[in-house]
Amino acid sequence: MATEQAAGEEAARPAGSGGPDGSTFIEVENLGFEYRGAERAALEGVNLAIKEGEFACVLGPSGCGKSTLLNILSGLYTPTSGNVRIANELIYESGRRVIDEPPRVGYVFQDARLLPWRTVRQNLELALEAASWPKAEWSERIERYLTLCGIEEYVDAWPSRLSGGQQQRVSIARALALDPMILLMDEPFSTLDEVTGRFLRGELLDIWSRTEKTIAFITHSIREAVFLADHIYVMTAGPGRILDRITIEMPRPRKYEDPHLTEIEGSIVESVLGHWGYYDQDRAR
Amino acid sequence: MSAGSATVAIGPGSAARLRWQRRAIRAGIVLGIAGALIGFWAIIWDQTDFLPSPAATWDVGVDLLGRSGTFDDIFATVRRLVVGLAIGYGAAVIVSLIMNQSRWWNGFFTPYVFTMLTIPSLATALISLMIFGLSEVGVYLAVAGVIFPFATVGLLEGLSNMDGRLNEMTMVYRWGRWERIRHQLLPQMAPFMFAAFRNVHALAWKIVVIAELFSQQNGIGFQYKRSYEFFELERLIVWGIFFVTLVMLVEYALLRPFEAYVFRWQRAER
Amino acid sequence: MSAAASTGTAAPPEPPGRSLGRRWVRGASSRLRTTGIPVAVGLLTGLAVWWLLSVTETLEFLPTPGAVAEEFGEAVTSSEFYSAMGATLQRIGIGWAIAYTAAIAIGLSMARNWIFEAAAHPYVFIGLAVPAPVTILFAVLALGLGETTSLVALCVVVTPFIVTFIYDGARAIDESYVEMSNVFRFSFRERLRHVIMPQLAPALLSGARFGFAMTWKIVVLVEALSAADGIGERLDYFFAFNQSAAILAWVFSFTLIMFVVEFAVFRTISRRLFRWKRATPGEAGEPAIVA
Repeated sequence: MATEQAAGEEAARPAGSGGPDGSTFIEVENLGFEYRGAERAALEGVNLAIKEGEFACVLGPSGCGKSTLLNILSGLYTPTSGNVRIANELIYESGRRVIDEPPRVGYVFQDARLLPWRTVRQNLELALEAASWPKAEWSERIERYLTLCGIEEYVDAWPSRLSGGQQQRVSIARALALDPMILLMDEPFSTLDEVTGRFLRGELLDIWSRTEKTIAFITHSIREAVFLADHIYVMTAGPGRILDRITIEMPRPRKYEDPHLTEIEGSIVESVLGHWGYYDQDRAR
Repeated sequence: MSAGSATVAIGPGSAARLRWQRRAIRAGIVLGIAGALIGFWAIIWDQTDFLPSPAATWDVGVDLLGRSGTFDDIFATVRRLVVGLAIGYGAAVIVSLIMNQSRWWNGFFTPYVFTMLTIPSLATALISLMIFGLSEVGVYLAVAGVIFPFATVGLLEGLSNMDGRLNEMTMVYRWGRWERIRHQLLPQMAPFMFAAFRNVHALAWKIVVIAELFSQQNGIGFQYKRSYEFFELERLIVWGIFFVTLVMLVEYALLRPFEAYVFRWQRAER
Repeated sequence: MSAAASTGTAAPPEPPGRSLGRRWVRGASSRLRTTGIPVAVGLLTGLAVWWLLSVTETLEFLPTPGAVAEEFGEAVTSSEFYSAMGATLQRIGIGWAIAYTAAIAIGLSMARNWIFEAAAHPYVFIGLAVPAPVTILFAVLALGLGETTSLVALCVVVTPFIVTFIYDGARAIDESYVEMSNVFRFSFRERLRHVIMPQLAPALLSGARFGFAMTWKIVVLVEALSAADGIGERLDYFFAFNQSAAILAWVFSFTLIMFVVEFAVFRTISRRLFRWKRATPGEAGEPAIVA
């Protein structure tokens, strides 16, 4: 496992930029965000470079602004400072949006957020319509992506009849059906029970390898991050910034129970706890 | 509801401060609008041939407050309200407890609760007044009859929401029936009892006035009729203001503080 | 959530509606036994008590059930009743239409805009607090006796109540779906149609039904105090002339008709709109808000 410690100079140099294996797909420079009327910035000086096809995990404690970061990437919020580039197109510059048509993103929420008064099919159709996909292609795309997520038989079901895991699969299918530039996922498995969660993580990696999407995945679980990610971006709170970029060089396919994974998790826990200030307090280890 | 493509972001820490700002502005707007309406009234009243002047209305109000007759009327209304509420709410408590015992009793009383709920309250009042010969009792039962079904429904809802887990606890520790009623049932019932009471209290005020209007020689309702018959708009407005003030007084100076006292254990939790 | 469920081997859900019918039929005979009997006993007991009291003249002015039945027969065969119903129904229709439209406009604006809410709040509050007789009598003194006056009074009394209903419902819209629709770049129309309206619909429907119920109950008071015809006016007449049997008969008929109308119109609409709600066991497809 190689850990690139950019101690002390994280703000100056974008963490992990310009690697040997491909262009930067999501580039975030000096990003800042302040909620209206807040005393402190939610994000400050965030630098990020995610490569195409990478599975990136953003790891951080609650309140560190990782959801805010995702919301900015999705186009929901405009940053107060900094630049954001996706696929080499400048989206935000110095706190303003500079592009008319921001790129298509797929977003998977922590709660599936399927419209409960529309069937699964209709939910996907709505997303396709909003993304301006021609109607003729809807049916084929819906079938393809529902099948990819293993849920095609529920195409005409009402979401409230599906279990939490099934709803999340639909949510993932909806995000993928748009053929998005990037896939953003905000702790999508944290509300599911352990067995379902494990199963879906494996499925997600399978889907990722088949669709080759660039994924930004938020989590607070170190183990989940180690299992899923190519690189883990460790964030800290108050105001949020990227502290560290950890490369997970375990070969795929990975096993959740793998003792090597446990080792890596252990060492990350150590360093992360240090970053997050748990050793600064008068606490026995 | 946000209709734009970017939501307005409000973070956790600043929400409290924004809330206070909003409250201040809101109070300002409410007072401003109220003041503007009164000002508007003062300007246009003699343009129309029906509005009385604010000044004249104020004079009538002050004058009425100086007379003892006014308070006789108010007291009469309050007396009828209290008796009617007691009868109606008391009956509702008893009936709801019986109905809660079993499906059979529930079925037994349902047609009455349902019918009385559906009949217009004016009709209930008129019927009661007629049967009891326009007497005081008629007014009491008019009020009682109108609020009874609403109170019953409210109480039934509370009864059906009793926490089964506390029930299990009392069974395991073998509580006696009185202890159970006093320490387990009633405290759980209390919020519903208060909510039901507050709802019917407002309704009772309206009904007592209607009943008086149709049958009595004193009381606020009678004053409404008198103002109408003598074409005295100022009087009508003043008695209307008295009514609203009275209701709000009871609600905010009596009911809510009492309720806060009874439920002080809740606030301690936080 | 079992592993089987998450791998998707559970059977696809049954389409709603069919199971509702089957379960209802199966429940009917047991329902007859458990509820039908006590209801019948209750009604008969009440009837017996009434008859006893009226026949023994313990309450001087209580009419006998027989007298009331006779009046009822006369009423439903007389043109007097139906012309009064006609006038009243017309007022209900117009009054409710105006009140409901106004309430939607005010209630939704209040939910959307907190400044508007502050401005409208005093009116709504006063509207809820002032008793109906004051409003009605004021209207008559101000505008004179007439159809317009009655309608104005009716609308002014009923609207604030519907406003609070709609306002509460509109405030309960779940922001998380709106957020989702923003992320997926729904157009304004799409958001309105697919995200906002389905959440607003229950409140709008309850508001309509509640408003309708309020309207037909208040209209009799309005008519008693200010109209020259209609059911309320007749009730006032019977009251003044102490015709207790007639009052009871007319109240009963009017209530019955209005209840049937309310039930028929609003229950069918609410059934169709709320197919999608999660079915609880024993209630397949039954919407939660029907009351």
